[in-house]
Amino acid sequence: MAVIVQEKDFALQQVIDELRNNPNTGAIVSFIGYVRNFTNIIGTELNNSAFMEIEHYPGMTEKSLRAIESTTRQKWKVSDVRIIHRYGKLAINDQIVLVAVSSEHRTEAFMACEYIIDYLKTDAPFWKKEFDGKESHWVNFNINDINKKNKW
Amino acid sequence: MMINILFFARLREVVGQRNVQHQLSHDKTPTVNTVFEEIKDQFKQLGDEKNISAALNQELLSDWNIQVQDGDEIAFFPPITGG
Repeated sequence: MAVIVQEKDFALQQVIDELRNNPNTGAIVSFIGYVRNFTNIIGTELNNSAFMEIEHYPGMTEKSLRAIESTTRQKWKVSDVRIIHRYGKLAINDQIVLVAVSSEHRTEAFMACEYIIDYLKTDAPFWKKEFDGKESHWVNFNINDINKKNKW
Repeated sequence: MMINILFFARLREVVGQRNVQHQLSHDKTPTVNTVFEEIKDQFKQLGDEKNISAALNQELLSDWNIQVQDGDEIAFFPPITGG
């Protein structure tokens, strides 16, 4: 399965091993997005009561990710694509999303990986809510994400 | 004409429901816009919301002036913030 939407965590190495198991693979590029420290606490000590909750639109989420994968494959000659996105309750520093692309040569894998995450940011129906232990708020969309996507 | 309406994230909280079955009173050629106007009459609090996005049958819409049919699924939600 090239597109996975799941609550549980994922392991990068396992995905790399899967993509590597193809004689045509000459390059693998991967991207992982993590929950950043969104609280006001500065430093390395984490606020243990802070967490993020990710909501999504089951059905449309998978459909939109598959559509992004399909456009990617039309644009670049890539061998394999993996997109894993989590939902539910996540702590600061947890993994949220993984995009991994394999190809014969590095350029296609670099381009495709960036293209996928740029489109995922604006087209795949996920919403983040941050809880700092006292208050919660929905994360605002970032205009830079739209500008970045429009550059493709 | 029956439309299945879904709300996500902030809009789900504002409306207080995730899923609403809506019987359209408009009988000619209703669009996603028509549906939203009717839904806004039912849930007045939606009138205060800015930057609402919509999907028709799980396809993101850039133009709400698109015709709907009986049994369609329309979702309304705030801008996407995944990744």
